[in-house]
Amino acid sequence: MTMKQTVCLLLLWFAGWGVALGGEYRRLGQDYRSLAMGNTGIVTANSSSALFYNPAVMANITTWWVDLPMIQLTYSKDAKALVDQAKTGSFTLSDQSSQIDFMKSFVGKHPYVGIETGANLYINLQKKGLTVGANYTYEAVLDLEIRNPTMPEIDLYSSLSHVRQYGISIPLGLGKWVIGFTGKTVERTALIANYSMADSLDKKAFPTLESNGVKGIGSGYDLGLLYRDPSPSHMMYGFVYRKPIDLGEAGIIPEEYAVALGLVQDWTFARFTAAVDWRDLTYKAGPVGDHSLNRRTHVGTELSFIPLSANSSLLHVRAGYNQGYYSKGVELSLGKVMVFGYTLHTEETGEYAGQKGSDRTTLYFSLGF
Amino acid sequence: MRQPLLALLLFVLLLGLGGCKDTAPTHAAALLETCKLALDRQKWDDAVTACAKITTDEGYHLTAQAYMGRAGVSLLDILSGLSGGSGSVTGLFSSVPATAAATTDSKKALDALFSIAKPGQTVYLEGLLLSSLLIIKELKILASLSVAADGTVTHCASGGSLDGCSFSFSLSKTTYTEADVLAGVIPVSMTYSGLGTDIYAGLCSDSGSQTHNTKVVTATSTVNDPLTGTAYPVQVTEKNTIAHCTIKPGSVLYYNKVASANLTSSISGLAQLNFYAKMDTGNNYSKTFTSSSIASPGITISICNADAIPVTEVTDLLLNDCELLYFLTNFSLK
Repeated sequence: MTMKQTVCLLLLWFAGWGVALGGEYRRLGQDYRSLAMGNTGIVTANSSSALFYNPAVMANITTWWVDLPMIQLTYSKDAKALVDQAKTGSFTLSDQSSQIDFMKSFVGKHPYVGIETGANLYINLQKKGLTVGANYTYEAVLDLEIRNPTMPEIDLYSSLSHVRQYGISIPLGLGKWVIGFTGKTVERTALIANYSMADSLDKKAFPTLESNGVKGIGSGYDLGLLYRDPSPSHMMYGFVYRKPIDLGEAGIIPEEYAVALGLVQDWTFARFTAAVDWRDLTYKAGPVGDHSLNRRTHVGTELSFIPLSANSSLLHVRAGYNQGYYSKGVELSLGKVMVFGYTLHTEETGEYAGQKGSDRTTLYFSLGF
Repeated sequence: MRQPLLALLLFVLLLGLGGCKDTAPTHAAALLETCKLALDRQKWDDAVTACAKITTDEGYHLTAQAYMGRAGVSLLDILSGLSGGSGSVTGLFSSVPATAAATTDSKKALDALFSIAKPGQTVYLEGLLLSSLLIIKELKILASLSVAADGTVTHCASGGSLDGCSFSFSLSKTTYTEADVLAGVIPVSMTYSGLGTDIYAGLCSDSGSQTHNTKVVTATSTVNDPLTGTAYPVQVTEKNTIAHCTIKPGSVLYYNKVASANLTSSISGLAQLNFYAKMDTGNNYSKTFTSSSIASPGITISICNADAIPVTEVTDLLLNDCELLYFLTNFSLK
């Protein structure tokens, strides 16, 4: 892809088109490991995204590291078509003809691209589970859906978020019980828009994140609880509460109550992890009437080979069940020096589990020490 | 302590085998998505069924689009033709409903569009295009409407004469001799049996007809009275049957009127689709007969006239053959 083509795609990003892409639950910090494990993590997250799932689960981190940088790219199958069109060199969308051609060729498609980058810091201060952590994350999302072949229209969600969060896990007594706390600040510029064929013919300007995006900033916190059974099966039970964050015109990050259970089995050359999460138990994430428990159920497993430390192995193989769809992934890591993760998962973008899945690929890379 | 592990593994297995999906929409947003999804996948029967369950403005709009899809109406193609400033309406002709089922679906789509309580410009745009399709469909049947590759519209009256149309006028005779003279005049009858009521039923959801055969028009022949040397008059008795309608709310032409009146789009070519304004003009249609036996300027007959069937007024929501014949002979989409 030439520089010009790349710029065109970036312009598309910042142009931001789209409407009420209603269905997807848009959560911050969903990482490649959890996504491969059916997006579980309330009791099993042990990577740099632990703070996004449950601050108490940081107690399972028994070492320290810094990720600098961390990059995660998520894209849908249809996003490839977008890139392919960009490669033709004629992908500008600046005039009516190209807009209509785009709608004709992409109708029914759902390109999604999400990028996260930033830095992470985790430090275990006491083996019982006293750990502090922080994330400094930028997240950009472009979600297009070209709908309705009778009268095509582009639904768009586009956002740029900056998340700063810090947290601590505090063991109680001998460490069977752990409480955790996360404080966070989210700054977001978001655009939710619709652009139809009629708009194009009427020569209405594309909505852009720059001129039509709305900005908001808000703060919130998460409270987490973890119970670790000292038995050989290492059963864990977790709970987390997330305070809603009001971003003003840029939307609301909804309140969430979640519970989970999981276990970790250690063998000489391998480690087995399994978990079940039930999230958004008060049904705040979806529209009114969305009480689908299946959509809020997450199941995942992980097999890790050749343990390098209490928290890392050389190779991980994962599988899970997320909102009614299978997920899978692999990870190769050299401690925290270099991590490469690859995940295939499906996100529900309809209104109930199994209605309209969006197949996605997540690539993760980080360097650290 | 293996029990929790086994329990968890069993649970995972059960989820994997049994699936953990919902099977049907249970709330309004899910119903809406079901409708949209069927539209996206062009499963028109499913879309009609799913969208019809949503009794909101958005539901009516999507239901209309589902019916359009099932009728084979592609607004995308039509609007593509209108893009680029060309204002070409060629796409309209390829989207005209070709079957009775498609026509029914198109009409249902139009009804759904105009069920919307707070219509936006897109609704009016779609209403204008759809009503135009149904009007063109009626005109195709009536006047053999067709479009050339360059977008030129032709029909049986496109030359300004109705002679090529099935509903033309005829004089009982046009060449006269002294043998035709009776009681000092040449009696002739002119027959016009009208456009028929089908087109009015299609356009107005209403139809009727009137007949008159007493109106007499006089002209001058080229046959001279040998005694006086003056030309015998030709006395034409009209025998006209004229169809008409009242444009009913909910009819195709009424929707065309409403959409045209409310659409503020700058899209080129759309002004050509205001069929209501082009038809309900209050204009009359006059036919002139000429031949070597008739003195110049020939016999001119106004189809509607105060003595028989009066001309209707402009924009009075009444339509009859006189206005439609005038429309046809002046019809253009350029």
